[in-house]
Amino acid sequence: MKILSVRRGFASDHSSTSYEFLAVDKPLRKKEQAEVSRLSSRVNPTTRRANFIYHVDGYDIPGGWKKLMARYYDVMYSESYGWWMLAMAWKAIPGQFEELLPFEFEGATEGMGIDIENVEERTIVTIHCAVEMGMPYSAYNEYYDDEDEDEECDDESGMFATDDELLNALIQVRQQIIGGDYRALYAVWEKYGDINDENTPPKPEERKTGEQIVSNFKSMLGYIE
Amino acid sequence: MRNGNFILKEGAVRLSDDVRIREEYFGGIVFHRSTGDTLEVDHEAYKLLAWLRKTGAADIRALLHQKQVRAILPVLLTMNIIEHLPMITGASVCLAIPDHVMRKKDITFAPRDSAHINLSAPETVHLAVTYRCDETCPDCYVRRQKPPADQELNTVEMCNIIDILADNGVFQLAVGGGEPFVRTDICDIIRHAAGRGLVVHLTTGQYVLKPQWEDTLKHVKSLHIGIRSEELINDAEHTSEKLRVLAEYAANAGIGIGANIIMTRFSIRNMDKLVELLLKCGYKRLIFLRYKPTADRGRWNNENPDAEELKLFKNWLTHTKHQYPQLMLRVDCASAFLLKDTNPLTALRAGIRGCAAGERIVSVAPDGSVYPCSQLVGHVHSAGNLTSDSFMTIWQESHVLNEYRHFRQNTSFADSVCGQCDANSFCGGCRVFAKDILGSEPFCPMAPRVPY
Repeated sequence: MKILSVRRGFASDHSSTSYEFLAVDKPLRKKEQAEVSRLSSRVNPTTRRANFIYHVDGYDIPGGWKKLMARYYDVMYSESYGWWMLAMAWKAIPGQFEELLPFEFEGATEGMGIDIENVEERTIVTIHCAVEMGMPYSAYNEYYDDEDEDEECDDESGMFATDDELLNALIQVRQQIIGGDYRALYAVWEKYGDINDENTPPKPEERKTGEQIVSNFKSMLGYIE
Repeated sequence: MRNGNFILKEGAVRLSDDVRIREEYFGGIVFHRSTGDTLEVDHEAYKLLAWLRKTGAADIRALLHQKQVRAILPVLLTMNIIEHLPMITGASVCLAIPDHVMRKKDITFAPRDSAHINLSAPETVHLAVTYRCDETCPDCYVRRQKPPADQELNTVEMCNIIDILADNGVFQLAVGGGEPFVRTDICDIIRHAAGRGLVVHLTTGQYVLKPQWEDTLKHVKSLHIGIRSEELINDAEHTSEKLRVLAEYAANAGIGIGANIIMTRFSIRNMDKLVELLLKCGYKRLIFLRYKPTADRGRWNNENPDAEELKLFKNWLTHTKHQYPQLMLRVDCASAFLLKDTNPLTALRAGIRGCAAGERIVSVAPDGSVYPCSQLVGHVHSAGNLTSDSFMTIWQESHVLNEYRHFRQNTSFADSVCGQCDANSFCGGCRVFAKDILGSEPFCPMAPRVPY
């Protein structure tokens, strides 16, 4: 029993904010799913995923999205009228938060940049950006595809994967950052950073592995001109 | 179960009187007449809603007992599709959902645009009640079509057409023209449509309303004012005052009001000023319409924005949305490519369709002729005439409507740039501009979205 689509108001057109959350490290238990459900009647979380769409300007997730990242989910993207937030959360090892702080910046383009913060017991990295067109967000091409529980699986490399390419990219970048590899964050600075800013983040050392992940991620980042 | 601040454990629920439901090949469409919210639901959800309508009221515990129902109930309650009745006195309440309602239907869902599958009726009909107009707006598309002005149905005939649409399950009627108010019987037509349960919207270029129209406008859900950008910019003081009075009237009468702005080069150049003026006049809903070819080809060539200008306009939309969060900025279906970087998942769930000509909308001309959309008129696009052909024959069997509603499957389109673009399910470009009508959109300012 499903609601396939919801078009709000007397309009055939679009104005909305959407969030896509994914739990990577561990699925949500029933109690946790119920807690997410209680936040909003607009969400029907599975054990791994939750999607919120707000069609009316000014409405948003009660308590904010960061609370969900602090407690339940590991990666998230949100799109609102062409402005994107890509977020990753994990429980950082001692000292890692301080290591990450130099990568926080406000871009030369207003609204672009990176926020680093600790919320409850987790570190949340939020990238404010535009996403380049040509970047597919999902393999959700068939209108009536079933979207039941846990369509996610491990990919060939053994890494957890979903049907959503943007979430998959975030999973990979998060894994790199957890391991102390901050090249993706530096790539964000290269894309949006102000070269006149004296607080330039440290350039991470080159590595042989994971270069493709960084370059794929960088190629997704676009501009709002 | 939470509904707003209430935890629902007891009482009953019923389908709101304002809700209309219609069975479709994928399940059903749910339309809320007051809010305009439109949901598409699967077969099981449709069966549940149809049962609720038939039953009248059901004990909420009977619904909460079913896991599948619990999953969708909060959304239905929040959107007032279903109403909660805390106390039932003297009413008959069904205490259990019959098994046949909950039984899963053995159906393989077909993709949205499979050939020979279509809705049972359009959701919205654009009714041009006349092609006449006393204004001489240079960017009007109607004069390009050179419609015969003498083949207008009279009041009785027009009301008969409305009866046919209402009887066949159409939800909304968008009344336009020409200028609807040149018809002396426009009030009778609108009253009749509203009386038949259709949600009526009206588009006009009249900035000053006559007192005798005001009673009729109470039957209109929303009023869309065609903004003449050059007049508003060049004579800002006088034009603004007229528009302000109009917006004030609509606000007092509880009618939604929006400003339709054609995206000419002039409009785009002056968009900041236009928005500032319209905001001051009380217009918070701005609808940007693609500049369709006009009778004056030279002017159209000069004023039609190119891909680069459209791209800049898209960026302007993004910035303006941030600058004025109170504004509702909309683009029409012909400009769906401006939404091309929308997440496809969001687009599907939000019901964004791009071109829906012949699929979710049709246009009815002043003589009763049916066309895929108000831009695609004339003999070659005619699907039939409601004064002589049955609605169902036109809707189900017309070659013209079938061709447009399934244009994404046509080889001309599928092999084109638009057909290869990953956004074609919710964009597809505008058929008015497309090569051979069914091909690619030539003015799309965005690069095609290709597999990553």
